[in-house]
Amino acid sequence: MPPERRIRAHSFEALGTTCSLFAADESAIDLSQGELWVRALGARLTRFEDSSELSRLNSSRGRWTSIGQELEDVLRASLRAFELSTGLVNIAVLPAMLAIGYTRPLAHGPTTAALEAIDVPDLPDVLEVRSGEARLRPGSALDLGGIAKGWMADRLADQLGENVLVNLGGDLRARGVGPEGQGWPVGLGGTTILLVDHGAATSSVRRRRWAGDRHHVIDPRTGRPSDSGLVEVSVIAATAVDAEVIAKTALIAGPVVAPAFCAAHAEAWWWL
Amino acid sequence: MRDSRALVLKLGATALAIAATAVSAVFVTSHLKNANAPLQPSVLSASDPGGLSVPGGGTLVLSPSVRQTDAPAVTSTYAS
Repeated sequence: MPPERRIRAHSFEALGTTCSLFAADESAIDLSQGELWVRALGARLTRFEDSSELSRLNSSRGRWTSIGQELEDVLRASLRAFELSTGLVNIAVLPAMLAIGYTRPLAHGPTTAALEAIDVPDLPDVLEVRSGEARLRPGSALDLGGIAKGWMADRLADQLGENVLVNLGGDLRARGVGPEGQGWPVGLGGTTILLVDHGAATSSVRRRRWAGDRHHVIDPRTGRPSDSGLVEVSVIAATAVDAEVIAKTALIAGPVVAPAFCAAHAEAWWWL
Repeated sequence: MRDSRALVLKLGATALAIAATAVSAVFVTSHLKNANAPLQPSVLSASDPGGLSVPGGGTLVLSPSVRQTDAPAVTSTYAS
């Protein structure tokens, strides 16, 4: 049996949630460097700050806008997510989110909803990405949501070291064999799973709720909060961003489609 | 002479076409699609994925590449 390694841990609040970094690898870089990276990139990708890169794109009124490599990569990941989910994971849901009152971080409280539902356009119809630039159709706006968290977890795990675990508000990426050589033990749906070079994510309508039936998971087919019959889905997949996309797709698709979709794309899943 | 040669060619072509049709029909009927063929993607039978009920509620499904453990979890995936 391989020797047990000491785990270094570092937790902090960022991205509107709790983030935790773990390393069982003495060669891993200082975990506080990871916190700085998360905070800096989070500030560029948030929709809640007018000065962020994402907000500049959202307000660009159809003009080509220069973007950094990280935003470009997240936008490309979002286009792939749209394809994989057959449109159920669509970052162009921001106008629908605003319409139901999700106009600021929920820690500050939702605002009053002005409209009940807004049509959500297909992402490839409104977003174009080319090297260093993106263009968004006037009237459209993006919320990167969990895709950004999953993408950041994947990238940060690669940067931190060979045997690390990154948890950005429930979007996890494990790298290496963990502290005892058998994988990183991670809780999922009331049990503990060993992750070895896996990603994990949870999508739920139980959190970020307000005004009774309103919550932050928009079904792009209706422009309204999802009401599929599933309330929470957790997934293990090859990467955190894959897990995020699969979990959200299953949650929105509902209990009839979700088992087959997860069987085709995930390595483990739990749903309620 | 020329007429009889043309007639032979026509009869030959007709016979060849009938033979090809008959052979194709025999081949196709003897190779019916087998609904239990092993190459069907496993996803088609995933409507009953055989999940486990877990203490906290819900259904858990694990592929062979993922293992459970009794070790305490370092952290968890959760909705945020």
